[in-house]
Amino acid sequence: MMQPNNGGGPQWANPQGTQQQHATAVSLAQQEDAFFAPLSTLDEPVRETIMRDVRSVASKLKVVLLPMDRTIPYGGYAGVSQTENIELTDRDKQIIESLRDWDLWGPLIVCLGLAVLLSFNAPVGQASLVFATVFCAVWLGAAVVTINTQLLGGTISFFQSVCVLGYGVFPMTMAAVVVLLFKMLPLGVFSVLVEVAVLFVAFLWSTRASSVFIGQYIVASRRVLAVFPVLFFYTFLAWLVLLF
Amino acid sequence: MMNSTNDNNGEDFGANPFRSVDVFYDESDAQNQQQSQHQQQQQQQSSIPDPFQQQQQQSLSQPTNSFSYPMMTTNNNNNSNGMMPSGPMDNINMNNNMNMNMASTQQFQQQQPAGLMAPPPQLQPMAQQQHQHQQQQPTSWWGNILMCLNLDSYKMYFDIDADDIVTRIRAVILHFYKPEHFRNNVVGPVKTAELKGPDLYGPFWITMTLIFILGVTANFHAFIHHTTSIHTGGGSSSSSNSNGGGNTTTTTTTSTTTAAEDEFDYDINHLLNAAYICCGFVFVLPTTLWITTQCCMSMKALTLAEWVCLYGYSLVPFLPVAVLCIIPFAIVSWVLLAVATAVSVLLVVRNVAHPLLANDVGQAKAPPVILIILGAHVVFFLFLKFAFFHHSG
Repeated sequence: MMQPNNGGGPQWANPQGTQQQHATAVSLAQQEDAFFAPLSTLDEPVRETIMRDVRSVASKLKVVLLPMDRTIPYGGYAGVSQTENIELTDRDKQIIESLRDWDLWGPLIVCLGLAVLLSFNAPVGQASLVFATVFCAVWLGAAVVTINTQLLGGTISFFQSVCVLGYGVFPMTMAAVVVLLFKMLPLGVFSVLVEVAVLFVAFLWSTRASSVFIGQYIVASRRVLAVFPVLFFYTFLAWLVLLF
Repeated sequence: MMNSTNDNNGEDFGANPFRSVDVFYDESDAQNQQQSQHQQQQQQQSSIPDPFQQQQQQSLSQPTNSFSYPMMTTNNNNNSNGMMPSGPMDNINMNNNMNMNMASTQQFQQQQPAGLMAPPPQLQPMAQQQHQHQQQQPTSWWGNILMCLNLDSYKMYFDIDADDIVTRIRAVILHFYKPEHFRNNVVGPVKTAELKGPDLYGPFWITMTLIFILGVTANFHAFIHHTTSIHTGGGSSSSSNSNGGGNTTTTTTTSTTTAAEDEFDYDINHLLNAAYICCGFVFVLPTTLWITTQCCMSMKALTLAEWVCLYGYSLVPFLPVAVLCIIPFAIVSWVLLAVATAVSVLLVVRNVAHPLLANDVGQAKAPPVILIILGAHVVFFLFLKFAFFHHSG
C-alpha cells in the first residue's frame, strides 16, 4: 500500500489514514511510534480500528460488484477508486490486487446474509434447517473448490481462494433479496421467470468475478478445469436460492 | 511447479492403496538387466525405489509397464509398482542414485522399518540432495493414514489438462466398445510420457455433475407428471410454469381443483438419493472390487485409481440421458437408461476383463467378478429408473 508518508516513522508504521491527523505530533512521539511501530495502532480510537476493516470489506465488495463492466476504462471509475487499488491499467488487475489481502469477515457477512434471507421464507419448522444448509453449502463448497484448485497445481493459498469465493456470493445475496421481494408480490407465473432471470444474471456475475481471480493462479491449460467447479458451486447456490 | 511433490517413492505395503503390482512386470526384460545388480541390492534393504532409473530407460524405449520397485524384506508381496512417478522426478539429480546405492550398502544391516514418522535411514543422505521437498516414506500404519490425509498424495491424480479430460470423455462416447482401448490408449495404466495415467478429477466432477443433474431432472420429471396429471385428471388448471424448481407453483386455477392438490412440493430427497447412489457406484463399488481382486483373490490387475477412474468415466453416458429423461413417457426413460447402461457396462467390462484374465489366478476367478460388475450396473440402472424417473399411474 503506497501511502504518502506524513513525516516521521516508516511507511509501514502508518496504516491508512490513521496517522494523518497526527502530522504535527512532536518528534518524540514520532520516534516512539517508530520504535513501537507494530503497536502504534493502540492509540487510535476504536472506531478507527473498526472502520479500517469495514472499509476493507466494503472496497472488496465494490470490486466484486464491478467486474461486469469491461468496456468502461479506468477513467470511468474515477469516483470508485479505493485506497487499496492504485491499479491504472486493467480492471481485472484491479480485482486481483484488491482481493489479494484476504479476509474472512466479508465472506462471513455475505454468507450469513444469504442464509438469513433464505431462512426467512422457509416453512416455520424448517428455518434453522434451511439456514444450516445454506451456511454449510457455502463454506463446504468453497473449501471443495479451493482444494480442487490446489490439487490442479494452482498456487493460490487456501484462505485466499475461500475469501474470493465468499465475496463472490455477494451478487447471489443481492439476487436473493430481489427474489424474496418477487415472491411476496402476487405476480404469478411472471415472478418465476423473473426470478430465474435475476438469478442467472447474478450467477454470471459471481462466476465472472471469481474465475478472473482464480484463473490467474492456474496454468492456462488447466484453467477450464479450475473454473468449472466455480461455475458448479454458484449454480448450486443459485438453485438453492430458487428452491428456498 | 505444478506438482510440487512426489509421493510415489514409497514402496510400503498398504501405504498407498492406489498402487498395486503391475501385471506386466517382466523379470527378463532387457531394460532391467542393466540395473539388476543395483536393484537386487536395493530390493533387499532400501525402501526407496529409484524410479528415475527406470524412467530414463523408459524414455528411451516405448513406455511399457515393466519396471520394478524394490521389495521390502518385511513383506512377501511382490509389489512391483505400476505407478509412474510424476513430474517432479525431473528435479531429482543423478547423484541420488549413486548415493542411495552407497547408503544402501552401508546400511545393509538395517532392515527394521523406521520409527513412526521419522524417515527411514536410507532417506537421510538422499534428502539433503533433493532439490525439493520429498515426502517421508511412511512405514507404519499411522503414517500411512496421515499420508492419505495429506493433500500432496493426491496431486499426481490431478496432473491433467483440460484437453486430456475432453479426450477421455470423447473416448468414452466414441470408443467404449473397443477392448482395452480406454485403459491402454487413452488413459494409460501408469503415468508415462505420453499417457497421463488414471486421474481422479474426471470421476469426481462427473459424479458431482450427475448428482446435481439427477436432483434437478428428477424434480422436473415429477413436476411435469404432476401438472399433466392435473390437466388430465381433475380440473383445468392453467398452471403453465416452465420452471419446475420452485417451491410452490403459482397456479391460476379456473376450475374446482383444490389448492392443496395444485401444490407441487419440491423433493430434496432426490438430490440426497442421487448423492448416495452415485457416490456408492463410483467410489465404494470400485474400492470393493479392488479389495476383492487384489487382496482376497490375489489378482494383481488394476490399481485402485484405475478402477475409480473407469467407473467415474463410465457415468458419462448417463449425463445426457438424465437430462433427456425429463420427457414424461415411461418408455423413453426405459430405453434411454438402458442404452446408457449398456454403453457404461461395455466400457468397464472391456477394459477390465483382459487384465483380470491375464494371469493364471484370474482364469478361474475373474468370471464371477465380471458377472458382479454386470450385475452392479444392472442394479444401478434399476435404481436410477425407479428412484428418479418413475411414477405409478
